[in-house]
Amino acid sequence: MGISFFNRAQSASLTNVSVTLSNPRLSFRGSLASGNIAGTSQVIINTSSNHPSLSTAQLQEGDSIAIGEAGSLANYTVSTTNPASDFTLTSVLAAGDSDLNDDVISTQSAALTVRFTTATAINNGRFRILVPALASDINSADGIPDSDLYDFGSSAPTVTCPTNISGYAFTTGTATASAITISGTDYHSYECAYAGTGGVGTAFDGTSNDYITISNVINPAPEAGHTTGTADTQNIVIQHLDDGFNVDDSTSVAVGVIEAVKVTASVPASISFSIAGVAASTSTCGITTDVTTTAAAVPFGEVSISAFNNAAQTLTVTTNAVNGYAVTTLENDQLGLDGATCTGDSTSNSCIRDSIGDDSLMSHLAFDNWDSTANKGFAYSIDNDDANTIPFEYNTVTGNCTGGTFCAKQFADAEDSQTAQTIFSSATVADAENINVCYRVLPDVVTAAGDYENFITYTATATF
Amino acid sequence: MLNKKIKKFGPNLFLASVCFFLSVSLGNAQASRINLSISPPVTYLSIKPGESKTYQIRAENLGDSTLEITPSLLDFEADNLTGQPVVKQTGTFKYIQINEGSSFFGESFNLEPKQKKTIPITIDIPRSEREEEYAMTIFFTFKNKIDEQQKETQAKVAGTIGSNLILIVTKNDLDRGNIIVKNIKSMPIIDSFMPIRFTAIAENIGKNATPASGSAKIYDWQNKEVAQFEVHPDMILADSSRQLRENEFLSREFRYKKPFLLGIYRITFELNKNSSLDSEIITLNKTIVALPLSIIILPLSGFILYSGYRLVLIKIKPR
Repeated sequence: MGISFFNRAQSASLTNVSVTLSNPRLSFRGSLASGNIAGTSQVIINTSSNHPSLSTAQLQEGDSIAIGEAGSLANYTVSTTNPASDFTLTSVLAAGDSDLNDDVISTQSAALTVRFTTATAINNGRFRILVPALASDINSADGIPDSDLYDFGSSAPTVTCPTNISGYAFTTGTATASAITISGTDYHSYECAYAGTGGVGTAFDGTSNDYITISNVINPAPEAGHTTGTADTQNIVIQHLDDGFNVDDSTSVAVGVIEAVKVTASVPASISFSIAGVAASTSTCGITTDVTTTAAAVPFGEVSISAFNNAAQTLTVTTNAVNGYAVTTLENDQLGLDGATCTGDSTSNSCIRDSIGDDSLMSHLAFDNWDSTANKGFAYSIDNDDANTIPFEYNTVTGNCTGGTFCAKQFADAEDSQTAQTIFSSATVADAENINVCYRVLPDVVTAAGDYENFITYTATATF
Repeated sequence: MLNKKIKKFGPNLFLASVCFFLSVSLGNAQASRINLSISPPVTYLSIKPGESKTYQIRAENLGDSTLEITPSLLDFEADNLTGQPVVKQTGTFKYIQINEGSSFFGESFNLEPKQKKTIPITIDIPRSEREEEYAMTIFFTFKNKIDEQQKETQAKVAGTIGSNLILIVTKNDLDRGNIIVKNIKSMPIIDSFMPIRFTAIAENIGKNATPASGSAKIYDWQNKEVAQFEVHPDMILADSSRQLRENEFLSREFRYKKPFLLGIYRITFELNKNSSLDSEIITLNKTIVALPLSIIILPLSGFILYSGYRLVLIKIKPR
């Protein structure tokens, strides 16, 4: 909606006067600076002089824009408008449309809605709306925006008068370009004449009776010295005339046009990765966890040698990287007594070796079910919440995991020169995709008493 | 006297105990989740020999506890399929450093909760360096600053986020990527009621990473185009391969479904060699045949079964 700033009474006053613009944006009328190249999408405008528009602030994405020499302007669409001196097109500049001082025009048109209440009853009178215009009949009605003035448009706008009511039998509205001059200011004239006695206090407000609308006036280009973000205002005059064209009542209303508010936000590409502990007695991976984990450790504590010891952690990835992400896992070594080295697949009694599963087929590459406590070691499984892709899950029952309930894999062992394995991934953006990693340990009965330790690293990287 | 003191200070002691218990519990709760964000996740940088460039990586602690973060640098190579980096255990690129006071790779820094830190990375290429592409990942290993020192059987866990850097050392900005379609995989003969399904691998035999661009088309036996798929502009690193994806659903499998397919169909991939405006177009074709196998095989198998049955009957009941 446009902006009515104030009412100023002249002779007698029409009351409750308002004029609104359906589109309050300034039109753009500028010119090309040097450096524009045919065949490219970038457009550089003149920001110093010659034309009303010296900034792309009056443009926005999707605007239609005409570029070229007068009389042979070609139509384009604005893609982006940053910085103030440049904008880009959705297509490329054609040959001949990249010359210095070529016109750059983007019109904003609006429907004017005029509401008022009569002050006097005038027999066979007319309502006249005067909109500021250029003096020249040709230039004021060529469809090209004018600085701080409304262009009539290359064809006459439609004036829609109110529906007939008692005392007012309206004729079809008329529009005349740059028809009236008052105190040195030229105005387009839009009229609604009526037959009848009229009435005092008749409200043409869109509620009691219809209001007057004028279609497709061309909004002004910026005034000289225009400040971006500050409205340029023009006075629109509403008059009530008698049948001799004498002005009986008149009120002027200031209407403002301004740039659209440009909201900009920069969203950088990023990837975030979170590791969270899971409380003891949590159901996940088809088991109930025995210990509470933290983000930094899976503290099994004093582990049983006759029953599985289970724990879990939650891993979460969020990224707006268009090609997605992958999370891999790698252990530095098998669980070693006080962190001591366990060379290869060591079965030394000072190591808790990586489990080989119930079918002796488990490795860091191959999953196998591990349901029997007769088989010892350390392994992990996955309980997928909403990750896009996982290599397997605890309830996988195909291949080596056929017939099992806890399908698991060894961690890839850096000490044994094994490469990190992907545990979840996505080929597109991800919003908090997460899995639970479930850890299971069961030492051999010959394992030496003591504290066993290793380090597991989870790595999240974007896909290039 | 003691009773009086207990009466006087008892409530205060109780409150203090509760506060202490809550603070410890809260501390543990805070330590149970760590969350780090890195931006950008992938950077493509072009640099001339003898030139120096600095770009920035931003780290943000999204968690509620102070993180100890250690940056490191490792090489990676493409997995030749999905674009996931396969990280090597070595970082061989010498001309890169963290350009900030005392920070360098391997040196930890702390990041408070909800705090951001910008890490300037400077690449300084000697004039004598030859034109080549380097793929590396700058890793940020993060953990709670106060590590939980406990003596028991445990697996210690660390999180790491990588920011990939694909660095192209080039004397000019020309795209010297050279993409070829390595192969198209599909069934040579399909049933008329089944869709045409195919995948394709593209290889970049050029000197720098360049995006796959172009299309896959299917022509019928009259050489009339019946389907076209735009190829998703996935980046293919120099001397690596990548499975192509169709652009609409980002699927690695291209799929054309009609109620009934019949005859010879030609699958054609037309890819731009690189991203330059006058790029050559590289083409690879594969022909498949669609036959109404289900219509042919069903009666045929019925006939064979019936014939076999008849034979068995004849043998069992000799005249």
